Amino acid sequence: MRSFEFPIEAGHIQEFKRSVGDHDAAFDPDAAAPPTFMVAADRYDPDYDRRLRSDRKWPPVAPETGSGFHAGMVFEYHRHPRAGEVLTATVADGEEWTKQGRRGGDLRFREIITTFTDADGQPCVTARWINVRAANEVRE
Amino acid sequence: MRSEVGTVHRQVVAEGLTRTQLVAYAGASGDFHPFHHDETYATAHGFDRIFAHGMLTMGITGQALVAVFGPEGLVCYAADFLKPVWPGDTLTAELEITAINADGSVEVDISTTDQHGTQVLRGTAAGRLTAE
Repeated sequence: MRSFEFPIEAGHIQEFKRSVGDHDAAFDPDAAAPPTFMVAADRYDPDYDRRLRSDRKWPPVAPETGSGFHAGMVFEYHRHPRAGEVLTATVADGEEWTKQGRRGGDLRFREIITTFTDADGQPCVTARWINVRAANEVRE
Repeated sequence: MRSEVGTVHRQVVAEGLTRTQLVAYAGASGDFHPFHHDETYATAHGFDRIFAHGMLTMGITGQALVAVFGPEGLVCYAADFLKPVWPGDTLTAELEITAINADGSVEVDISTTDQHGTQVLRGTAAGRLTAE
């Protein structure tokens, strides 16, 4: 388990909204975070590896060395954070399970759970990233 | 959206998705995986071209959810990424009310399809509808 701070910035919300199709989103200093915004906490995660890093070769050598395929995502909103807050993101491993793939062979699923809490330690959003890996086919 | 089981909200959420939008999303989300912006890398690893982040498809679909639940009405939003989404694709999100809870919140099934009718995202959400 590890944690890092995620400052919710109004300009970042505007940029994110525009990128998901609200192309004319205006700057709103009191904006509520859009539904999938919590994934952008990755920008503040010191261990995140889908970015240029001075200690890593870029681009990744091959997908086989990557983290598998992103199969799904779940967000549970206890409340919707707003610009100006600083959340704490705590990342932990979730459940793991195996399922038979349609083409045969096992698919291995793994959850990564990130809990976002506010300055009072109260939960705001819980995000579950679901990864899948196949023995012979890893895409992302 | 009328609060009644079976009511459907349909919304075109992306018309001719551009490579520029993929790059904008990479910057906003921080996810610079080269599959989503580096054509040379993508083709070298077996893809015809770059493709959208699954989270971009989920974010784009989220516009339809905000339209019916408002910016703070959602309680839960879950999605499975079924097929790649490519530059040029037009996406339509369809939300169907499947249940109305005792507290007045509703549950919806989500289906996002491309211009060929192929389902690229399947999901569920729950929350309170905005007033009509």
